[in-house]
Amino acid sequence: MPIIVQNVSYTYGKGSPFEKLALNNISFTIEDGDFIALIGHTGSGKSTLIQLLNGLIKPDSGSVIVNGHNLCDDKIDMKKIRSTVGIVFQYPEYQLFEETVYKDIAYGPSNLGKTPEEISKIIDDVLPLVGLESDILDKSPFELSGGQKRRVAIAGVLAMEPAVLILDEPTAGLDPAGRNDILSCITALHNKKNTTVILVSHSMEDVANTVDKILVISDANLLAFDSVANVFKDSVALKNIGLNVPQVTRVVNHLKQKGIDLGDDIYTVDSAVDAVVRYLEEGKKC
Amino acid sequence: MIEVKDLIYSYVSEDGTSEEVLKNVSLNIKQGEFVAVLGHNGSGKSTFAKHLNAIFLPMGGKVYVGGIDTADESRLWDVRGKVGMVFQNPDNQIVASIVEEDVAFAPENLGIEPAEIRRRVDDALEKVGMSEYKKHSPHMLSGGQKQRVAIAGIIAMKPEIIVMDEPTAMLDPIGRREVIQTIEDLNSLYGITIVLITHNMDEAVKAQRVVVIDSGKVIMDDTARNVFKNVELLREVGLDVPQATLLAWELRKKGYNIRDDVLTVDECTEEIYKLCR
Repeated sequence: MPIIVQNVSYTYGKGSPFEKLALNNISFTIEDGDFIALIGHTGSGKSTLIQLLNGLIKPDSGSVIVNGHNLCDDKIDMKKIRSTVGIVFQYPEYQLFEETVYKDIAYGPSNLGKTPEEISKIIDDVLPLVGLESDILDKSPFELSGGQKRRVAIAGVLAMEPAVLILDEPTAGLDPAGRNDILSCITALHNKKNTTVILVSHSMEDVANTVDKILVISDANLLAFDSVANVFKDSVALKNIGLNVPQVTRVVNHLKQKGIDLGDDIYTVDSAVDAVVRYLEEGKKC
Repeated sequence: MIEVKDLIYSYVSEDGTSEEVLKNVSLNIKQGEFVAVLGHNGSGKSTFAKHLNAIFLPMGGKVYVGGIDTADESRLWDVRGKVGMVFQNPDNQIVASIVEEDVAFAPENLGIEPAEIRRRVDDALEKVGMSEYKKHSPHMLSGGQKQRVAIAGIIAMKPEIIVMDEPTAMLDPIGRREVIQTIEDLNSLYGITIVLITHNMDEAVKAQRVVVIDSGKVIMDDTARNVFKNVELLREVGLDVPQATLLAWELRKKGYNIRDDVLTVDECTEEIYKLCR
């Protein structure tokens, strides 16, 4: 079920002194099973865009079509849309509120009208997806570590069994080990259930290691929607909008300026190591 | 300036079980130093930071700030006056509805003369580069700007040391750069001692000294260059190194002749250039 965003514009605080154009005539299509990163600096319109995708806000003009349903249509069943497109907001651990982990994860599906039996099955299903064991279910969410809390919160969204999962900076504030855990959970979920994933991130290193395509937003405009390789190819354009390419790509670019061409499409440490080795081996042959 | 001796601290949970989070930590911080304290979530680094201005008191061992024992209740305000704290979430640290009033909040509470408060507020905002926003409303600022206002609020108390507990964790790359630049300036231009708690390796490389805490113990305490050489050990304790360092390390492991203490993109470029030319 593709998501089709067509000529969407959105303005905050219309008619007030704080009026601000957040999205300017944006169009793109996300296909089933896409794994996409949404990047752009703060204030670029990223958050506005993800809120449009599950109908939390409606565009001033243009249309958002999810699974054939136009979200601008007043008669649409929003509950259905919200269970199709799940959003994990920033610092989702602050949204935990129930007495036990079980009840917290069950909150979403029970509001969708699932029976207790169905919910129990769903919970058994989502726990391993976020790397948690069942002994955590009876604990209070408030006695868990930060990383565990975040995984419980993500499980709460997964329990609604969304076909599209949007995560707003899911690794913010986590240490390197916690960050890698969360990213590999998301990748595993994507691979296993073919869930469409949209990952909002500020870390170009994380983006380079995880996703297939990148959507770049700058100053309310869609700047690019392309493969990781093509987006990182234009490091100058990214720099101009306050973003950067991964550190290794910068090393490769600097080397190119000095006359050493290691090749294109290098944005992970592993690919950079390979490229240097290849360059040196070929040099020997000459 | 700060002397931490055999510091022990445990958290006791509701059911009475306790978990020792700091196990005999000893550390001295000299005036004018810029020290980064690294450790993964739950390593004890924030617990350590909270001992530096008597938010937490040692269960064993001692913490002295400028010679004052932090456990001496009668000197609490002296300790807090010497050591300012900046926390992770900028939104939790702003109390007033106008930037300059927010910065004035602490000196007002210290009972300082209005004319002196005016001087301190202007000076503090100048130091963090936020003077032009002094009449603005804090909630309209970006995260990085808010965090700089929070830092100005601390500077207005004229502390000798500022302890920052992951001040950039919630900021975007631009906000991070702003805050880190501010921290570097405070240290190098104004001589304020900085203790930066972080798990961002690219920030830690800016410090003169890096202390790594794992499971409540100091496991490394050296220059950034010497600490980041230990790629394997750092990974074992759930930390990472900058990509430039990792790239150089991987190549070195393959037998290429590369310096073992590469920290930055430029150094890494230079080393690979030497290999390839």
